[in-house]
Amino acid sequence: MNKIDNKTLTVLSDHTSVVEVSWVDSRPSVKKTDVKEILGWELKDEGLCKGDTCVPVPSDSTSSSSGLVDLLTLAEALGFSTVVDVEAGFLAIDCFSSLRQNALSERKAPDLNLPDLDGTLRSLSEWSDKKKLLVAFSSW
Amino acid sequence: MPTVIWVDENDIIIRPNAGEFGSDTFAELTGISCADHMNQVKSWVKEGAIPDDANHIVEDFNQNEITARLHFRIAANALRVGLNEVSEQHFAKAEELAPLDFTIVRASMPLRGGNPFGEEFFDLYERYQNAGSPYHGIPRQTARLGKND
Repeated sequence: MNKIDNKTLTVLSDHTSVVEVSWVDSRPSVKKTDVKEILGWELKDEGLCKGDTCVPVPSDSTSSSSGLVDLLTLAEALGFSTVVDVEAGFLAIDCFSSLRQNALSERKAPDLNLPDLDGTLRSLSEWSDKKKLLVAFSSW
Repeated sequence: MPTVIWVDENDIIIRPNAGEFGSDTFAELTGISCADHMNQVKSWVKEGAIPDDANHIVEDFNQNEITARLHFRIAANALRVGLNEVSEQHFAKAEELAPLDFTIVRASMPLRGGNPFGEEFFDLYERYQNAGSPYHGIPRQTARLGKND
């Protein structure tokens, strides 16, 4: 078994990030500058911002003295569910909830990006204006 | 199970996900004929005909199902870096939260040393059918086939 190093945090969201972490009451705190890489939202004075949209965050989620921010509080502010493994240094974030809910309610297919057999990223929008069958299956 | 979604020229989901097959190799097990779906697809492409089941409303995951997927992701990543005990703990938690979910339970079988076509799969399939085949998609009338058939 490999050695567990919980001074780094592996964050699993729509991508994978590995960042330095401090644990406060079993909650991961990270550098403010790492938030955008992890969540895709930038932490500003107004809150968490992406484009023209900002979401307010609780004032106690940031520590001005250490420059660290409570990652779970920020994820919760965005409505993301999380599971954290303190000992092993993993945090999984469900950042797809709004995308999924929109697709279910509006029936608008998200513009998926997936690699083709040659590894080239292809998006669903490449076949706009055409009928499409999206087939998902597992190889065992 | 292969899953198919129909998406139209405006990127609107015309028919949500349903289990469909490209051949009848597993028809005895699934009770699903590939010809029915292929004929529906042909009618949609040629005449714009949409089957009645396309109106099915797919419910979102509940919190247990969401949390199960997060445990699954940690488990798979822990396994990838050799943290086998950590991985097993999270696979077990994921299965506890979503015990009938194929994308959790069956998908983890080969990662946990099991056989996704073996006894444990047929046990899962039997429990799944006994529970009414819960699925976030168009429900299908699947064949009743136990592990002893």
